[in-house]
Amino acid sequence: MPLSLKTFQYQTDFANYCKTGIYNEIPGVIEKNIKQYRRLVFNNVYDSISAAYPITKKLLGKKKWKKLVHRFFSSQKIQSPQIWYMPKEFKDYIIDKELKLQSKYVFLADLLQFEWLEIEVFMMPDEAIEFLSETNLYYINPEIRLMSVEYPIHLKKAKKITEKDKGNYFISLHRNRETGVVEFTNLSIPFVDVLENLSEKSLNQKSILNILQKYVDETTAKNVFYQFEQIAINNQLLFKK
Amino acid sequence: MVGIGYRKDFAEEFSENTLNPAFIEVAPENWINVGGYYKKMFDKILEKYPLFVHGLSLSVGSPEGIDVAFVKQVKQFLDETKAVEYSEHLSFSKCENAHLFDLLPIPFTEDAVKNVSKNIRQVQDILERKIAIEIVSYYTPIAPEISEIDFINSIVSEADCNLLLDVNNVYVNGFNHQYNPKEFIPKLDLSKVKYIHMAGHTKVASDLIIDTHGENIIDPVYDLFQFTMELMQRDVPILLERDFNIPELEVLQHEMDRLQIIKTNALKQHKHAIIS
Repeated sequence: MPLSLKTFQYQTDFANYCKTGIYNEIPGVIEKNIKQYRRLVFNNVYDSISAAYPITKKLLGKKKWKKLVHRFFSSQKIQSPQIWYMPKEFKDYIIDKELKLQSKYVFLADLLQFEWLEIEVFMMPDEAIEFLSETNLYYINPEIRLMSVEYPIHLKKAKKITEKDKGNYFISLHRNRETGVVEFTNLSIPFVDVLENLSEKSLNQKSILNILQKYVDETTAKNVFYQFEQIAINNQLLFKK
Repeated sequence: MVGIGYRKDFAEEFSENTLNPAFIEVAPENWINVGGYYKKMFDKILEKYPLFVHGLSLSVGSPEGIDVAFVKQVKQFLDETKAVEYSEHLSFSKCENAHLFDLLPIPFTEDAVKNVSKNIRQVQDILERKIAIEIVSYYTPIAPEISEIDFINSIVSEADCNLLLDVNNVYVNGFNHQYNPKEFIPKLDLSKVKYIHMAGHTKVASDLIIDTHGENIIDPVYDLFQFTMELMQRDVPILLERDFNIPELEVLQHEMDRLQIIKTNALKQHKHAIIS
């Protein structure tokens, strides 16, 4: 390594100060200016994380939120060179390490995951759909993520969610290919089944109804699919060609 | 030619031809593995303007060396976008394998020169092109053993890289560390300057300026730019950076026009000087 241990240590001490705010004396440093680095570095991280998780931030309040961001940033080694991706590491940190916080807010992991997936889908690389020559087939929007949650973080205000709401909820988040807007859809288990099958290959209406009939009778299947189709085609969750 | 840092903040207005830059510049970190609404807009813009790429997270000053996988991603991005230039900062933003997302000053020491030069050479080998390295603004030195100018010149020489001269940064550093930028710039190896950045800054105390890219360029920085162009006597691409507090785009166009006029006049004066 061409770097001396001394220089290595000074750089490390400086970086650690920016992360933690704890300063170990470094020769030649203008001490009254060094705090600018801590401020700039922390604010950058704080702003990115705050923009990614507006609902969670509001839920916890500014003071708790700032402390949480500080705990994350001072203790973790951020791996992504892309700052827009860094909030994912924040979410993973909370789910892995902030167990006390999660016991207070039982739906916190679900909420963070939901907020993160909105970003991930908004930013994900474009994916083409290969339309087949056969007509009247349904295709799923490939710019999509499916998630299951224990709490209805997509249906109720975070502050109103309680232990009594615990259950099995399913959500899809997809990106409208024209507007770029990410939309979420609350899904029942039969439609999760439909979307998972559509992720494998395009299907005609008959095949979709067959999937739904595993759960409901034929008439109900037709009715619910008709309703779902109207919304899904309109918001580009599905395409029909 | 004068270009502008392309930002999502004004992407929609920009696509309506409200600005007339000669080229655009982006950070690869904001576009690698990204799709969607803004990417589609960016792809359309790329059909019209040459692209200069200016990185943020390469961290050539990192004690632990460079992230090879990331550099390969950058290479792919440069190839895909047919980028004209790739530049980065003479700073470190990663330490102990943790990203900090800011430009921290490298100690001005001989061993840091060796480390940075090794890192830049490795990057250039992977990219199969020379990079231009930007002199960053700094608010404190870290355990310096050699002068700033020796530090920069040694790296440019040892790494065999180009120089991105951010005139505003030199102004900021001159102010913050009490030296005359007009004495500093002539000491650089100006033959290595491939590209110039211009930006505004914010004075936060009577003795401290922060390089915010959030204000208009001030007259003394325009003056330093003119001084630089007259000294260089060579045409290089100029970039206007504006990252925060973005004004009406006509203000940015006015700044770009002013930079072009200063540059044209500075080079014209030189031609006249040669003829006379």
